[in-house]
Amino acid sequence: MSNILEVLEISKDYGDFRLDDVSFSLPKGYIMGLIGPNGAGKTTIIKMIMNLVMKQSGAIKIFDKDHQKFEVEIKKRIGFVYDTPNHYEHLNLKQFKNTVAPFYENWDESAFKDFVHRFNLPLNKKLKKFSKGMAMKSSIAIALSHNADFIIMDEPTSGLDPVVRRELLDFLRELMQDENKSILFSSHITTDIEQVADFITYVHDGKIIFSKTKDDVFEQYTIVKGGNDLLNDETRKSFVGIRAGEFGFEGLTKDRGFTENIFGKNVIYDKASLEDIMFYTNLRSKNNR
Amino acid sequence: MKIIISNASSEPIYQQIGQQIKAQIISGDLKEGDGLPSIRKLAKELHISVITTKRTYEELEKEGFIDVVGGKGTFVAIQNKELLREKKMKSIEDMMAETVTEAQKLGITFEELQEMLGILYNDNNE
Amino acid sequence: MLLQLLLKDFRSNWLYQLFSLAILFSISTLFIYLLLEENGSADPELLIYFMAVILSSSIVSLLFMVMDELHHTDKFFASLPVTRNQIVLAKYGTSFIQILLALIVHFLGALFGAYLGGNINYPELEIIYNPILWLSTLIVLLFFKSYAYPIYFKFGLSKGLVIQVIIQLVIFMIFVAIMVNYNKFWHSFQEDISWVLNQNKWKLLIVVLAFFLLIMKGSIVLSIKVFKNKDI
Repeated sequence: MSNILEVLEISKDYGDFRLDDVSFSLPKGYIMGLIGPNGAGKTTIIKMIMNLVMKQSGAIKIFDKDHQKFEVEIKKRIGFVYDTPNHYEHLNLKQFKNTVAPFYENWDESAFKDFVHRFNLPLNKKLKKFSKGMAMKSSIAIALSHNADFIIMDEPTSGLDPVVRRELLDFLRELMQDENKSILFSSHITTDIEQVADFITYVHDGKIIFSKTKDDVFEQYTIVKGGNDLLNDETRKSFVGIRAGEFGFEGLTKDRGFTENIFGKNVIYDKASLEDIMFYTNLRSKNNR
Repeated sequence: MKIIISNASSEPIYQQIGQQIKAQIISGDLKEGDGLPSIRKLAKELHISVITTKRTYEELEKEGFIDVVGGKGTFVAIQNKELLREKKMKSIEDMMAETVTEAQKLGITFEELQEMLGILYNDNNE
Repeated sequence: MLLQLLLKDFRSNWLYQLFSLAILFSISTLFIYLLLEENGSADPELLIYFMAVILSSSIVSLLFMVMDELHHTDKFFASLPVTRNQIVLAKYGTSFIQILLALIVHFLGALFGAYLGGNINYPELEIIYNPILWLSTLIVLLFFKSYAYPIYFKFGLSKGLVIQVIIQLVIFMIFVAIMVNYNKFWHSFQEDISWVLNQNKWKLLIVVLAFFLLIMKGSIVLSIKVFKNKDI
């Protein structure tokens, strides 16, 4: 498997926040979801990949090339969507499209028309009159109409209503029928990522907690529920985070096999959702502070 | 081909799919040489990861149920009749083993079990 | 791509551009027309006129940057297949074109004002037709830009403008202080101007151009350096 994206030990110190030795990679032909609480560093990582924010150390390779040395060549093949749309709002969508299209040699007008149709976007209405969802859809239409091989989106689904969100996710799945396309997108709507991602990278407090296949994540991370009598200092250690209530405890383990060896059949094992994983990881880091 | 996956099941999704495809091959619903959907198509239709469907196909190929022909697609493997029969025998054996275990739990004797089996076998033949 | 960056501003903001040039045109027309109506001594008024030209052209040439700042489109265009150097060069390019346009429009406006005033060849207006004066205006404008741009690239437009206004105010106050305190200086200044105006035009042009190019070059190099490591 060749990697479309390689992020190698990138760091940046902001004083009150530090992106710390972030590394992960995405093989060609897959979707990676970037999750993490607000302020964890998702946007910073994405902007560093796009060379919009400067890294202080480390390396980033896209299409096997250094992302700064080959910036233009690389960006021609990238479709990028910001978390908030930035358009000339006195223009309509058609006019704004005409401003952007000449930047791409392989601009695909029919693809753009498809998007406009699919997303039900008005071409002749001023962009300032667009709702947040419509503006986001416009951004996506403009970013994805030049046959990009690598699509990078920062929170693309956040302003969208559930129906459009599904449409977008369906579109991403359709896109992945072509094994040469890859997608990286961040979202705090974890179900979106659960639905479409092949790889999940979890950022917390400027650090990567994990970056692996979705299947691995859900095979390893498990919710464990049982009676409080089973808890002691030793058994507590096998959890990422734990909440003990009056009638029993619920905890998250990141190694189901290990936990099964400890508790056997005395507890109940449930599937963990990404939300569970984020919640319990956050719980631990709070306790450690 | 029909595949239904359950998110509530504790069985991993790649196994669920694998089992269902195998069952359809053994039952003959999927015949030798039949084409299977590509891993990407299957992933899209089932709303699961390409990695999952890839893993399923890899396991099925390892077990000799399917052939992945580079560039052409994935097909139900030309089954060795003996091998297929052996596989089916194995699955019957497994079921019988389970029956025996359950019977022993209830204290059913070998003779009683034999009698039950005889009645079922003849009922089915009529 | 540099060309596309240059074009995108005119392409998407041409209406505002036309509108602001129309305002410049009217300023010049009105000023010169009123000047001729009053029929007074033209010299100090013409000095004020050129200050108005400089100020208005300088404001109008900020149009594209203001639009980008307003809609955060700088961010958007930085994500397209362009390099940071191209972004910097395009900003210099568009503002250079805008300043040229502004001065041409001012000149045409002045001509129109003179025409309305009844006499294009009014002797007091001779100075208006002197290309050296327009060239000097251009140089002054570009000088302002050349120190302002690195500041914009470093601090962003809104903060940059505040800093620039402060610097410009200081310069203006020093200028006024000199004028008020040294009446003599004013005369020698006038003499200097006429001395400059009497020089060989081409020699002057070359010297001034060389000086200007040097300053511009320095400014661009500085802007590129500042913008290279800027987080967008």
